[in-house]
Amino acid sequence: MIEGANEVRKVLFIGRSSCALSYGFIVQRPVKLSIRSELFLLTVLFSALAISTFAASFVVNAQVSPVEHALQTGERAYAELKAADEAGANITTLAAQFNAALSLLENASRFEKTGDNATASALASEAENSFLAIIPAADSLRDAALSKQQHEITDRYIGILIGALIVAVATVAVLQIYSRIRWRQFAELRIKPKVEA
Amino acid sequence: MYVVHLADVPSAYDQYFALYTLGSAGLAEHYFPGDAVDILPGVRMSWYIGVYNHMGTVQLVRVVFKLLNLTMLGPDQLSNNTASAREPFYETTRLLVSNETWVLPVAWSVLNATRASNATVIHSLIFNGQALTDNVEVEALYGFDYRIVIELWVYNDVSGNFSFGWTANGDDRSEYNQIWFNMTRISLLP
Repeated sequence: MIEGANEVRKVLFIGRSSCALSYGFIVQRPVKLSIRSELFLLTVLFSALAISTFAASFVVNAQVSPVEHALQTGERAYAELKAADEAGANITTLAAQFNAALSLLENASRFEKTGDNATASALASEAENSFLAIIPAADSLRDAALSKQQHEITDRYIGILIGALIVAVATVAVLQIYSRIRWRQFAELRIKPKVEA
Repeated sequence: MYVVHLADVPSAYDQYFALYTLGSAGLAEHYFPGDAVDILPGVRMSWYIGVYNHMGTVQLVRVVFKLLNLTMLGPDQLSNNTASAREPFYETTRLLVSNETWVLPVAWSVLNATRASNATVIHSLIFNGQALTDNVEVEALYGFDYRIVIELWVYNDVSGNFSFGWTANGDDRSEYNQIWFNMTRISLLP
């Protein structure tokens, strides 16, 4: 299992037959541990993993400026608006709201460049709140549009079926009337005697 | 049923953006006061930049302004739709719903320009009320052939970035305007 014994490697091995777990450096053979020790080691491992992930995300978040953060929210709002638009919703009002937020964000970016971080942060926060309000509104518009679309499709096909039925009934009726007329004409036929000269 | 289905198929939709620049009267003329393209610092230009969305869907567009001289490479529509490599001095973004036209009023003037020997250098601009120096400085021989390049960048949903140009009906397209001017009447520095 371990190749290159000179290398220092962490080894985590769970044997299939014994369910033993070994953890250490340059281990030639798996060391059997009790279930409690295994659980303890696993808890330590998962805790370390969770803490490092949390710390990493915290560092990333700490690096993102308020303007950048608002921009990311804006991208989410845009995606929702796009989805609503593609579903056939009328997003004109939300688009105007989005553009107003974009304008705030552009101003925030300018203040940030000049070093006025307080104003930049306030404007970015306002823009972000606006973007956050757009997201659920666009979502519900999309749902309404999709529902309307579904109803329209159903109505259209029902209309087609009813139309086809009316045409069929009308055709049968016309044919029957025509047939009766022809029969009546046939029944009223008289044989004319041939007049010989 | 086939007839109904055929009626449902949308006809071919020509997808495009239109970008245009109009002068102070909202027409394709009078871009400079008195139509004098040889301007001086403080002379105020008033333009209207229009963007029309005929892509059939909502689009996020960005209008990018760059100041170039004659020799700097401008946008290239013939090979790969590449934007000018010059950084923009101003840009603004807007969401356009289908069939919407966005008209952006622009008022600008040169704030500071100097001339030394045979070169005129623009150092700063006033653009829509803001004094701008970043990515503005550019020199031109005797003050000839400056240009303001206006590029249309479009948000690409796939890449998640703005890019110069767009893909419509299988073709890559791009749009830009440029307006030339001179600043030859700036006096030599003592």
